[in-house]
Amino acid sequence: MKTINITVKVWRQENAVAKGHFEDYKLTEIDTDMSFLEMLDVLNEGLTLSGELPLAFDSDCREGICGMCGAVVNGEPHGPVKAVTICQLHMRSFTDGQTLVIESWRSKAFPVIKDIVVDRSAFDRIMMAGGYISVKTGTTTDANANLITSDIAEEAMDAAQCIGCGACVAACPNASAMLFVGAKVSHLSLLPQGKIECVERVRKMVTQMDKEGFGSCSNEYECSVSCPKEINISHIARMNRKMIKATIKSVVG
Amino acid sequence: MKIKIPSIIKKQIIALTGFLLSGFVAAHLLGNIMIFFGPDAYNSYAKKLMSLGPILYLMEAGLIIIFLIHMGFTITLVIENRKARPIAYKKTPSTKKRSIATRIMPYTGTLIFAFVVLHLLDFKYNNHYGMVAGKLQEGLYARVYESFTDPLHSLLYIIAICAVSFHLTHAIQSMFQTFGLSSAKSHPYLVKISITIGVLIALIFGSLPIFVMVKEKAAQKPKVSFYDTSKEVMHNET
Repeated sequence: MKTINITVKVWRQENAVAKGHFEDYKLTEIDTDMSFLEMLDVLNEGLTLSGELPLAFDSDCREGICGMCGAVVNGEPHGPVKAVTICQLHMRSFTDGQTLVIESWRSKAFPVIKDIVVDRSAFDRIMMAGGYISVKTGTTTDANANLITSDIAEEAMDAAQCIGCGACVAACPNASAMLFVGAKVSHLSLLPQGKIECVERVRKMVTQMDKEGFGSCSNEYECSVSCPKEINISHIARMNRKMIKATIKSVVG
Repeated sequence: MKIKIPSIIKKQIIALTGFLLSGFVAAHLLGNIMIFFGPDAYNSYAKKLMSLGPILYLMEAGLIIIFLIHMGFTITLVIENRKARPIAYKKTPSTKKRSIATRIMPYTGTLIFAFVVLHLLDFKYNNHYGMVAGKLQEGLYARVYESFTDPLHSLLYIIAICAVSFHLTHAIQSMFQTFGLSSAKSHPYLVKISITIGVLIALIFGSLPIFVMVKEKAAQKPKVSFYDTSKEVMHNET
């Protein structure tokens, strides 16, 4: 069993209104096979035993599919390993004696609730604005009722991989949510069920995105690199294209 | 009723005005390579452009409006973008993908604006006389020629051209993305094309002051040099 000693410099903030600061903690004999979140569990165990408040952080499935966890480690959303969430990041990615700066997602639209936990309900409100299809509920439709070619299905699936973790916003120099919204718009507009409401959906989702206080996209493409699901920037391009259509339609009527 | 323009539409307006401005850069480039063909070619091109009269004024007014729209919307977006992250990172997310050109877009843009103002005062709203190879000559060619014989002037010009070049290397591919005209397949090529055009613009415009300085050096030579170089100068003047 290989172990390392590390220092973590982590953002501590008591509540949403309190002023936050960085706190240094030394961790010894960290098993390199531990996940990043397990390392934080070890940190919290120590903090609890010494009578301090444990570090608040989000996590749920811990297998990289739910989108609940996330933190910026040494300037990299979800840490230095490509295409994984922070729960799937392991301590073997770090070296002995290294200092890890751990911060929350930084965005006006994602206010800090406590420590490195942020409120991502802005994403939910964007989804509520138009990230759905209006269909009758009831029995499942016949599997072959809607014919979808393989390449379209693949591309829609690529977009649908988005787990809404918010790493794109964290990575963007403008804290823009374009990759998230682009993925959702793209996913639905590619499929026959979603095509019908496409134009209205784009307009509503983009309006809500602007309202939430996200920045705008300046085509830096940092989002896609940090995305644990490697969502392609072509989905942003598709949303931009649909937005032209939506605007013409809303102006002309 | 207050109409709020969606952020994407603002960006598309910036992209469209930027596209029109790069059209101007291309036209300006085609006009100005006339310098390579000597004073007659360049002066007659300048005269022809001036003789357009009202049409030229209309085009100029249009350009100014496009320029102001491009800057105005960019300034509002830059301010909005800064506000979107009130608490900065201790460790700024690493620049894995952003190129230098991308990062300095607002700064190259500001530099270009300052350059355009100076450039207009320098060449358009200045007297059209200048010293060419030690002789006072009339015409825009002489004005440009004299300005470029000053190394400091030329250096500032080249720096400004580099700003234009940097701006374009990001802007062209960015425009395709903003209009949604790029795909996962075409995007890498668009980036390459964008960089190529930016570099070409820098090389061609940047070669103008260098061309003039080399020519001036050659023109000064005959006083101390062989007769065959002087022949060349005489040939140029006729």
